[in-house]
Amino acid sequence: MKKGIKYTVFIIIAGVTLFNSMYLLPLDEKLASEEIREFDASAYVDGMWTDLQTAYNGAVEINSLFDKLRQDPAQTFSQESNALGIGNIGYFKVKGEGVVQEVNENNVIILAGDQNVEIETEFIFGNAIRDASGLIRINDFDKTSDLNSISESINEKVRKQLIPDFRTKVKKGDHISFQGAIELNKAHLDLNEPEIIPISLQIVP
Amino acid sequence: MLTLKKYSNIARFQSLIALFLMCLALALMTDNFMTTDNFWNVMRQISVNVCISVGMTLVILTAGIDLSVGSILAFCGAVTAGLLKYGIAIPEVNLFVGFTVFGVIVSGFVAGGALGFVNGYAITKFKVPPFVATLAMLTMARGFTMLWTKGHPITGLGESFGFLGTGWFLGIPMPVWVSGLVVIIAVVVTSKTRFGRYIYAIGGNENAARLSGIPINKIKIWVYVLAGVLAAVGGLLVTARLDSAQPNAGISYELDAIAAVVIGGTSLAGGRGTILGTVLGAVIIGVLNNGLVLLDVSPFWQQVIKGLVILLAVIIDKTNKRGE
Repeated sequence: MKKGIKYTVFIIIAGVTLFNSMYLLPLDEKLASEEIREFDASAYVDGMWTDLQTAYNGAVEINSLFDKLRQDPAQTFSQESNALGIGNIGYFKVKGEGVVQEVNENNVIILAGDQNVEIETEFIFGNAIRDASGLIRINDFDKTSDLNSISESINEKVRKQLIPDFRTKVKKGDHISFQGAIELNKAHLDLNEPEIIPISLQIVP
Repeated sequence: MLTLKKYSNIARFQSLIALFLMCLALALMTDNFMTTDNFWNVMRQISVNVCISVGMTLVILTAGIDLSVGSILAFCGAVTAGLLKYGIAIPEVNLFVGFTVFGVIVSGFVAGGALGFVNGYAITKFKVPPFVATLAMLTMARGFTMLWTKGHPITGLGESFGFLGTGWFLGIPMPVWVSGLVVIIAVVVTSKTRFGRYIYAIGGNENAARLSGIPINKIKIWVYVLAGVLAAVGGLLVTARLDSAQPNAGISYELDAIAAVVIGGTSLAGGRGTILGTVLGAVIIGVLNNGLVLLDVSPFWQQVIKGLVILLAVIIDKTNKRGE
């Protein structure tokens, strides 16, 4: 009798727990709602492309940025950089003009003001353009893979739409203007020959 | 000259004295240590370790060890997040089983308890040494986590689940409430129940306990199940706080838990120690971690210093025992 009461109480508790733990839906109904919410990074980037370019129109001139970084790195990082994560890495929107010094297989070196900068033309990877823009908020996305695919789509657009035309025309001695993003580490600040991931490149006639 | 009585009084409070001196030094050496924000930050950080360490204390009191708690934490966090986010699809019957927040919490506990049961069963039925059995579970649970998550974090778990890790209730962070509840239950269980007395008896002298009629295997299995469930509690707190289940979460958490237990005065030989001592050990580890960060000590040196502190705690404990 005592055992019977024990088992009955256990079954009631288990039943109540299960009832409050789960719910059932037809699978096809659930899948249909999932498909609607599937994230299309390429379409998302197409939609934000104009805003992205507008954001980079407000980029800081690279020599002036570097002067500020040499004078007060902490304040410059807090005022000028963007980053989705916490830590020492900051991404900056930069622009500038300069004369082409070298056209290499993977990059183009230009003399902008008093220092050389490296415009990447082959290895367009990472989150620099996305993060420096300051347009993306991490909480707007359910999955980190969606965030990553935004960067992939931006980089692919740069690789396919910007770089090929520029690479065919550029030669040593050309005067070019650029906009792009750089990644800097606050704890190990290295301002020698920065690597710029471009979003706009123009050969000035 | 110190009399024996005075010496034993100092020895009894040595962890508290060490904590007080550490807090005093950090208050003098940093600007941010003695702030309310930092206090709650430290309390939130140690909450996870407190939960795991309480389970580890029960295991060590039986003269065992559980190296798998970090991996179990990761697995339970991943199971919880996966069920909450994706549910279970059964295409054969066109059915989707979704889980509520309450449901995933229960599922996490069941997963942790099940892995703990496997540990306990291997140790008691097949006489596998606890070190080996739980080391095997450490790698298996990590593998299960990778299989479940396919190596990717599971994020975006919603506000109601996130409240468990980031919310506040009556001015106190939720993780502190949860770990406080765990501590209270564990103190009552170890000091006021027959189960608690059996744990001490097994760790003190297993043969004598067996001859006294204590069901050794049953108690040990329950202890490992509880350690698994408490690791699951830690996993839920970490996952809720980060709003993300990371497949590599909890790596080396078992070492912090063992350190808290040892610093708290629990004997690795079993049979001697308290839950409150472990809580004090976890606070010391938490304050040490926080202090080293505030002092901008390199992460590599932080590991060296933590190791030295653990070694020092064991040496002092041994010296005290010889004195007794």
